[in-house]
Amino acid sequence: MSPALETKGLGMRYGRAWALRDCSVRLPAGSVIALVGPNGAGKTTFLQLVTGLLRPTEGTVEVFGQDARDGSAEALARVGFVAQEHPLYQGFSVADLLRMGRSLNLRWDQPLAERRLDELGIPLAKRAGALSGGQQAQVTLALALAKRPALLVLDEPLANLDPIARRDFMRTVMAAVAEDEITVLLSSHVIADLEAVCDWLMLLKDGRLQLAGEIEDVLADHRMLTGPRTDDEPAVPGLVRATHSDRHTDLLVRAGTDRPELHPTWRSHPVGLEELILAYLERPTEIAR
Amino acid sequence: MIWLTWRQHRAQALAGLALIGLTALVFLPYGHAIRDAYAQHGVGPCLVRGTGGDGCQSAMSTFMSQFNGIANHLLTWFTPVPGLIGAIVGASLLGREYEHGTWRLAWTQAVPRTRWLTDKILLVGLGIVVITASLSAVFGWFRSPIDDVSGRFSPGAFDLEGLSLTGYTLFAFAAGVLAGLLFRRTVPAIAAAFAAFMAVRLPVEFWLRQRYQTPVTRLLPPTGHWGGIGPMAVPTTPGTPGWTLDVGLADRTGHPISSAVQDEISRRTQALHGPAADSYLRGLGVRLRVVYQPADRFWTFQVIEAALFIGLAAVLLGISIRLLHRRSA
Repeated sequence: MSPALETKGLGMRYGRAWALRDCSVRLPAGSVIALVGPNGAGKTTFLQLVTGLLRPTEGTVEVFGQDARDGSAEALARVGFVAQEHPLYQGFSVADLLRMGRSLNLRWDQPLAERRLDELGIPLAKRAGALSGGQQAQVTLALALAKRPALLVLDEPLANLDPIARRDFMRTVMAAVAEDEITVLLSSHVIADLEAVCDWLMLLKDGRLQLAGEIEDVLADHRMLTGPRTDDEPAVPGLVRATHSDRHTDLLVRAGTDRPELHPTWRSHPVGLEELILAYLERPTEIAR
Repeated sequence: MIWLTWRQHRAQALAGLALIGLTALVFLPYGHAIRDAYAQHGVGPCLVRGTGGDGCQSAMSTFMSQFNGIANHLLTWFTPVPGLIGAIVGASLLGREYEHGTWRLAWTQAVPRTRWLTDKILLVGLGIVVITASLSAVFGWFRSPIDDVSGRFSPGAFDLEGLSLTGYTLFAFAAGVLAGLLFRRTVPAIAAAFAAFMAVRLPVEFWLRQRYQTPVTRLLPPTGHWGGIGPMAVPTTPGTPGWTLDVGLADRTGHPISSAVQDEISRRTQALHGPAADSYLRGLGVRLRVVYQPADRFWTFQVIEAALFIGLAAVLLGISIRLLHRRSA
């Protein structure tokens, strides 16, 4: 499949600190990609590089084969973006915001936006500042979707939303995916929100890419090995992380090595997504890749 | 972009129109009062006929003392206003977007951000030109009888009439835009832009402006009541007064006399009266040396001053657009 997004050696430095470094990834079109990492991992930086809001210090980002630095109207039109905290002009009415979208975009699906907002019971005459957090998120999403983007980028879209607003928001996103086969790239630090909807995973920590791949493949690649406690770090190929309890040692390993050469008393289990992500996030960064 | 710019700046535009309305409301009736007094004191005929006669001198003095002080007070009070207006409008243009995080909304629509900024600058700049030119028209009309007597080079006139007010405001606006981009917050950007505005504006007024063109030096027959430059000065020769930079006594060849000697002479003439003082001065063989910018240079100076400020504004705005284009955060 041709990539929706491809980065090569992507890096972003603020002053002397690298927020993102050496990130090379190919994300396939038509997938829903979860960008996961703790706060400060570089998720927002990555997304702003993708949308062209930031210019990379080094490396390249290509969105559907076009350099994101280009910043042309055509390139901007292909990407819908919902920024963190869903910023809106608070003094504008919802109708004003739609009019803004109409006047600033090449493609604009006004009936779609009006229908979505109507279904959600968000009145067009209301000021953005007077809407609830969930409604503001929905308005920002409606603005992004009315552009008819090929790639929808969502930066922590579910933070600060209550469970019902989260569910409604993700429903709107998934409806758009089903209708238009758009590619979605969304960041979150809440793993539970993502498991049901995403088919791709991209894991960032301390500005470094830890893992990227289709979730099914990633899960199939990893095994949890449980055996008697061993205090010295075992030299297992593909070891991601070792945890020790009183009697046992758990080793998360990346396969290829489906049967590591260990004592036969070691048992091997498949891992869950959350367990896997936590294992990657908890391990010290020096081991990264 | 036109609709968006209007929607985002309409409160400021309406405030600008309100300012014009308020200014007109205050200054139009007052301007009529000035015109009545101007006719009543016969200032007009005096200026046409020649201004030397004692009757005319006292008529003009009365007229000027009645209005000039108030006019200059009001207009001096207005001096920082273009800087404030420009700084507020300019600083909010980018500062507000950064402060509220809406830059991420604005620049992910299908308008490249440099075009977004260029369009906004042009549209808001046009609004500033319309509003400040209207204000200048009101001030120019209001002051014109006073300007007939004291000339258009006094700060209260030169800074508000013609093109200068527009130039100042555009400069402060440009400084505000750049400061908003650098500080990413509105209020510090306003403060910085206003400080930058005053830092340029004041040296221009008090040091640079008189050097736009080489002043004219004239040697006149000495007279007992010389001295008196500044806005209250009443002209002693016919025609619209220029901008007197220096008045003093000079020797036969036109070289200024040392101030110690001038003080001595001036003490002597004060003891004498009218014609006696004049003939005493003639007897010394001294001349009155006047250094001034002639009145007909008003528009040349206006164009130079406006070009200076608008040129600086263009440089700052160009820097802002380039920085935004390259900005990495």
